[in-house]
Amino acid sequence: MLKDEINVINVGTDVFADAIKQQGGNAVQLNWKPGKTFPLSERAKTLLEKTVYSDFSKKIDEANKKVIEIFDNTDPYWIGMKPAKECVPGVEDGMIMHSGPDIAWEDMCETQKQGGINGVMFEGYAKDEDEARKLLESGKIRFVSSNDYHLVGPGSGITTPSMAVNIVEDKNTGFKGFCPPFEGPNRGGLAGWGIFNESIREHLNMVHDIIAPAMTNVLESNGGMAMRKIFTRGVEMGDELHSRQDATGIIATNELMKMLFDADITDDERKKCVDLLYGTVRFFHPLGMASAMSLLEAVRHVDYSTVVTAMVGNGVNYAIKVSGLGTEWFNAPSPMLTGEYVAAVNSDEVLPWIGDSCILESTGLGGFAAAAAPAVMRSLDKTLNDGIEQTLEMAEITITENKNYLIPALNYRGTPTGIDIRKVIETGIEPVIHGGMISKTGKRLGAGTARVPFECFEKALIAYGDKYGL
Amino acid sequence: MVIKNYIEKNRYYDSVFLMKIARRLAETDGVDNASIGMGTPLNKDTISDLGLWTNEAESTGPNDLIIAVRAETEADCEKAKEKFEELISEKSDTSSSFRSISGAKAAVPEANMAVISVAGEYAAKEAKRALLNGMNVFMFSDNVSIEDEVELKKLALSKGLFMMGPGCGLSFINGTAIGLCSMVHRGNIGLAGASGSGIQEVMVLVHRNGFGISHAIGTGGRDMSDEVGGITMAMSIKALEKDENTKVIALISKPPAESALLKIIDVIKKCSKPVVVQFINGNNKLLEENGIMYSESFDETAVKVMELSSGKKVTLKKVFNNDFDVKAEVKKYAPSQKYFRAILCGGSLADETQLLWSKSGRELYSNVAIKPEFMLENPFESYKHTVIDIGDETFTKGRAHVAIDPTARVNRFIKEARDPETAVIYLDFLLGYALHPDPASVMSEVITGEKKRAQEEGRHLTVIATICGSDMDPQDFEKQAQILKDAGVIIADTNKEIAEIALDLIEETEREKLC
Repeated sequence: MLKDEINVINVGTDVFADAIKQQGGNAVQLNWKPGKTFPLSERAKTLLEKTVYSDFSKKIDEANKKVIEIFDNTDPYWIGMKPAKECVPGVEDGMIMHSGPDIAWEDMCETQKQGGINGVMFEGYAKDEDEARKLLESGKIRFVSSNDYHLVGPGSGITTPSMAVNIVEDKNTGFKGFCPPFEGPNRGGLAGWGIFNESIREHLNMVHDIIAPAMTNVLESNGGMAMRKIFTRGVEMGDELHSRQDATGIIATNELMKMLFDADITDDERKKCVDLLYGTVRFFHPLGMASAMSLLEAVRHVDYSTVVTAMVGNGVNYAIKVSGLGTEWFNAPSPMLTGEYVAAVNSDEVLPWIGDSCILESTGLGGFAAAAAPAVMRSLDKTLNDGIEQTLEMAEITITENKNYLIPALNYRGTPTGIDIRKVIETGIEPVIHGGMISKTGKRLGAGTARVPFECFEKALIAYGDKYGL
Repeated sequence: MVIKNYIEKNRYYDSVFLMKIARRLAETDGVDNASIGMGTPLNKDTISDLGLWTNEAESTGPNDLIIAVRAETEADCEKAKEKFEELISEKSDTSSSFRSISGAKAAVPEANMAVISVAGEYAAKEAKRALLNGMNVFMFSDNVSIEDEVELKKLALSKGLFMMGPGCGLSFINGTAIGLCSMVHRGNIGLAGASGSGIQEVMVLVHRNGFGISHAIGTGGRDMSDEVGGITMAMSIKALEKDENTKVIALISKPPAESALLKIIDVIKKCSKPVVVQFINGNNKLLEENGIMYSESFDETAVKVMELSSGKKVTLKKVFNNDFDVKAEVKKYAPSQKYFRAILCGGSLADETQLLWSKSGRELYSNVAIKPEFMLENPFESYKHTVIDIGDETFTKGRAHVAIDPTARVNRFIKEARDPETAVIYLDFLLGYALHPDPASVMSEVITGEKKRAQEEGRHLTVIATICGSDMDPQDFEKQAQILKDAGVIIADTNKEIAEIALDLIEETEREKLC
């Protein structure tokens, strides 16, 4: 110490940092807040020290570096739209996919159960709802987590085998991600809100029969649609890709206009495609999610890595996956969202977090890109400054700044990317997630934010210690 | 010359931004020319016109980035590509804001000192983080448990780092004043200890007399307790011993626990450099038995280290001339006025004042009494002769230290000044970084006011002061002195000298009253 030029990090009153600067020295003032303190188990404390401060940490850092390279070089293409059982590995008749981590039928929230029943009805596996319920209860129809099948399920996240899904391929790694399109005039529809009626059936059939083949044709004849530069420009133009896709949607529509015009499809097909695009609010959202999924699939099994690869909820549990821990879930009770309601709502009508959309946050978007999206902040009754604060806070728990998503308000720094479970535990900062609030009956209630429960990360760290013998 | 086109598919950047980058790339050594653009027909033409085209760029579209370079060699082209990556990710760092020590340390790897002043309940956790991140810690915070302190100091020791505090007021490391600390000349006198104002008093005396300080390491008030066992003190002695700029070492501390003292004695005996020890109100018997040099006042400590440093006899330089007429001053007092009241920001100055009074066989009450029989029943009410450590947390709860926020002292001063039994008031003025920017002005206003009021009521107030600071402090030593003089304050060079003046005044007052 006595030989060194003193260079200060100041935690507390800025008087001390100013004093150092007055002397011509260097001092960084921490924007310190007491924040939440989470009591850590002794095991977790030991593991934190081993994973952060021992030589073992070098191994982790190396693994995480590999993960970040994949993040940086992701090059997703929207390449088609096909029925799930024709394109999603592992999906076949006799199964329904739901959002969030694995969950037993009896523990499921009513909204998701109803979604499952409606999915069974759509597929025609049962003659009535009672029978459908029994099939799901007994496990004759398997009701499984989307995330284990490269699928993203927003909201209730109901995907059925014959439902058409968007296919996105990461050209950098060859991994694919899938997400059902939003359902035009029915908005959330069956896939999102688990609701079902005649008009939804007709719409899904029309997408299956006409739009999916036509769009696949259009996309294939153009070599797919490259998504990365759309994200880059969209983030620059105010999207955080979770609660807002205005800019990205317009850029994509602009490209699609020419593709659709030139495509070798019938006028009726063309009209139906155009109607769907223009009639679907936030049609780009599922593409963003499928892109994120195609990226995360590539980092699902990087040994030693502590980077989060999934953050999803099912209205009961919220769970994360971690790269070095493969497909294991780390659960905690699903958090409630706080935010702005579109109408007066009883708080007991609101579902805790449900849906897989936070895989966007897992790739540096959504709540992590708040500083890029003043309009989103405004809709949450916050300001751009709040967004900047939020993004900088998230930078404390991530490994890098994204090379592809650059934030004008932060002088083109990248969005904080690559959530490191060690950093979450060390700082006590829980990831912020943006999302829609849904009622128990599948109504959209507004937009809000939540925090991913700390418990998920502590459990993951303990599992990490066990797996790697720490 | 070699021409290379590097392609990044679907990597979008704004075109004007890319032009700027291209211009900077072209200025790089070994690069003849460069052009960067998205693969639009216009940009392709431009690249071609510049003679930077290769067939690799043929397949690009408007969403693809082309980096076209002409350079001396292939290696230069590769270097240019690397340079591009560097330029493109260059940050204009205007908005850096960090929430955690780890985050800040990652961005500023050179950072080597965490200064922690958050509430005690959080301070230990932050300190541990800092130590684990390989940083020394200066902890101003107190209210940290002794168990935490021991754990932190052991961790620091195992990593060869310094854990200064909890409750560390100041350190002066390699020319940087940390905490509430004066700026002084560098020299070959090294200090360590658990006494903020005591260390500062010695520092400024050394400075004023033409010597200098190599480093002053604060250990925190409990370092010499049984539990902590002088971990930081021992480390400091060893570090100062190794330090080539240090020739003489002085340790200044509140009375140590015996177990800690024995450990430190051991370290001192092994130390190859001369060590002077001042334990304020400590038992010096053990030191004497072990042949260790000790002193009993800050003045004495300062003189001893300077003599050891120079090998010559040193007498403290007089800065303030205060040979005033004690008798005349005392004559102005009303019959009720007989007591001395000190309201001090420096805790160690309060200790030393008590010690000096006790040596002259006089009673001096205090809220931080070094003898239990002189403990004030109520710290808010003075009794007979009293010295108040106004920096004690009784007075500053929920506020900054009184040397930063003088409100508590202003209020106490008014109270004492209006007490008809008060004759003499002593105030210390601490200067230095992070301290109040103009403490003299704050006090001089009330001093003038209260002196006038006393006069109107037929009394006379004597206000005496020391300025514990140097002429390198941001407050401007000369100016502070002038402000106090203008308010009729008698200024003495040292705390010890003040005690002598005060005792003279009180003795004379008593004599006067007997007549």
